[in-house]
Amino acid sequence: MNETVLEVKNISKSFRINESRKDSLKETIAGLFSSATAATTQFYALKNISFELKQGEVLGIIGKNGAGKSTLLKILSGIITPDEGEINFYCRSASVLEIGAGFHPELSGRENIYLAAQLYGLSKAETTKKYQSIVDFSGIEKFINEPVKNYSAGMYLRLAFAVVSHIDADILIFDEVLSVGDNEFQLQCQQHIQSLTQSGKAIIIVTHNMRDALQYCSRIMKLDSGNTEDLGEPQEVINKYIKHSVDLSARKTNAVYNFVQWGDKGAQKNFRVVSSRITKAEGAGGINLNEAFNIVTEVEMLTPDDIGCVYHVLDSTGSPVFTSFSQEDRANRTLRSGTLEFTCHFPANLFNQGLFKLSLFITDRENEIYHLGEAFYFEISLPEENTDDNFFYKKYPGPLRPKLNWKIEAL
Amino acid sequence: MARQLYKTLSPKNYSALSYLKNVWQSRILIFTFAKRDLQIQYAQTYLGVLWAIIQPLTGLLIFSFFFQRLMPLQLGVPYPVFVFTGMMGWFYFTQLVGQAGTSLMNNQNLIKKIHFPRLVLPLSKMIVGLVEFCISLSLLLILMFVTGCPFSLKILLLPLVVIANVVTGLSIGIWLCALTIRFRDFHHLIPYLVGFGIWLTPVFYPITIIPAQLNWVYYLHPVANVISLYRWIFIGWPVDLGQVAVSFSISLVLFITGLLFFIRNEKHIADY
Repeated sequence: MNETVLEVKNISKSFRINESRKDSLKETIAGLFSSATAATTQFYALKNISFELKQGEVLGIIGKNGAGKSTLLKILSGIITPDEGEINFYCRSASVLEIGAGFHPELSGRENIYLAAQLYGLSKAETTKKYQSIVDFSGIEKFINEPVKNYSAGMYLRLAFAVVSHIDADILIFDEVLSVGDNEFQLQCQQHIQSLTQSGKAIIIVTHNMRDALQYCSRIMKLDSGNTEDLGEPQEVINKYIKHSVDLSARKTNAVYNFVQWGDKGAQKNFRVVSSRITKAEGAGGINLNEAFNIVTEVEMLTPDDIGCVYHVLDSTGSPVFTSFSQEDRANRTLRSGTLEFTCHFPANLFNQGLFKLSLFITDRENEIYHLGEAFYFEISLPEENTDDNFFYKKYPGPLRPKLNWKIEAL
Repeated sequence: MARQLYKTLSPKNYSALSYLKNVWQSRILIFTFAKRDLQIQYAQTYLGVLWAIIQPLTGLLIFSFFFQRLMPLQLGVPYPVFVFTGMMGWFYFTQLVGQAGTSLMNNQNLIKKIHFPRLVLPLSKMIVGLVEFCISLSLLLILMFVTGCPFSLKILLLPLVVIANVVTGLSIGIWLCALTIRFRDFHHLIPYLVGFGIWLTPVFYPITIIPAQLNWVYYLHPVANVISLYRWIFIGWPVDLGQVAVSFSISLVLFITGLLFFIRNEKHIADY
């Protein structure tokens, strides 16, 4: 399983940004007769990218727009040539930079299947052999002789993906194909990628969606302005990616986050959220998943009022984990003026390891009258003593890791 | 399992030979693209492939009508047969120049998304053109039969003449194709070449009406020589084979240098 299938060695690619464009014939001819060199700037789209890909691995590539993700994929696909470096393939590769690339709108579904399959390197005989399977997979047999320009977007995608999923290669390169289509289509893509990895194929995939990245990838490479900023285990890379913009002290308890903002609902400006902090029952430092902790929010009230505090906990990809409300008992209680503390107790063995985001609301039970979308982050880690422990699945998937009661009975 | 290198990508130039080997391995794409083009051309038309017959026929009618009246020529063969022998070669040539020359520009989307040896795009046009050529050819044969023109055994040389026709067309088509990668100017040149070229080529007039002092132009005119070959094998007009050889050699040199130029520039195609 550990056979290396792809080696990328020091790939660089630069483009010229022409201040005076030399793309027209006139300027090239004019350039022959004048000694002035055209003012061009070199722009590095990629700089010294190296990595290896092993059988059965899924490498996710993340990064902002313009980070060089697509350039890298185009180079790996052979569409553009690098300026420096070398890429060695040890088996056949195929690239899907766009679902439906190679399709022609005027041609029928059947004709497009043959066209696209052959562009992806299948022979005519192979295509004929796989044709029925492709049609079945797409589920649009009824319309297969219609020109694809009359297809709905969904039908088009399904047919295109059906062809793609029949490509015969050991390395597959996908550019953001998971972000198109409806849920059903995305699910189909997910299943396909899982079945590919199970059969030992190696995959490179560009994604913007952190959840996808965490779900499929065995490693993640983060690109930033053409450089490899990070390459490693998905959760770690993503956490670093997020922490990049987050105060690192977020990981510690007893750090106090000062907000000092007034509620903004006009007449109801009768309170302000002063700060939040994390406290731990014992000791200080990071929070382990087997430790309980509190998140305390301090609110200053000018007049007595009935308000409540809501904690909205999200995981590192921004998906909600759960929400908790201070007046869950639904009792009416008018709080006195002065300084108030809302303390929420999080029991031990609730969270899984990872980085979490806290979103904070103050509500008057009907409306949300104050909202701090990104109050702070906190990190839950695996206890030190457990790191050598050889228990089943050191790493659990999902944001929560509750200790539940199990009963094992012999019947 | 011994690790075997499957392929390498690097900035090094490919040798032209290994590139052509690559093209040969992808030769199926030449037919795939040709098939696609033909399918698109007649998709959703009521008359379908009939258009491929209607077009040369209308051309034939118009030329016959005007030229027979304006310029009564002593040809020794019915004028329509004469025009057809010129039109076939000329249209095949312009197809290769016009379609091969624009093939990269017209498939930019594909070029930026899927990798394949780009040379198959201009090469596929030779199949597209050949299909239409064959339709014209059958029309010519019918016309010759109907008008009672004698057939000569020289007709067996037709495949060689067609090859000369293809090389002549591709020599210019591939150069234009490779040049349009960098200079879009050449894209604008193509309609002129095709539109005005027909007047400078002995398609609807015989080469004999050209003043003697201009003969050297036609000596070098590649398509004029291809057309002479067609007239030689179909209607038995004399041909200067030495002149044809010189002109064909020029085309061959252009063709080979065009190929080399294309291959050298191929890696930059998606950059522009």
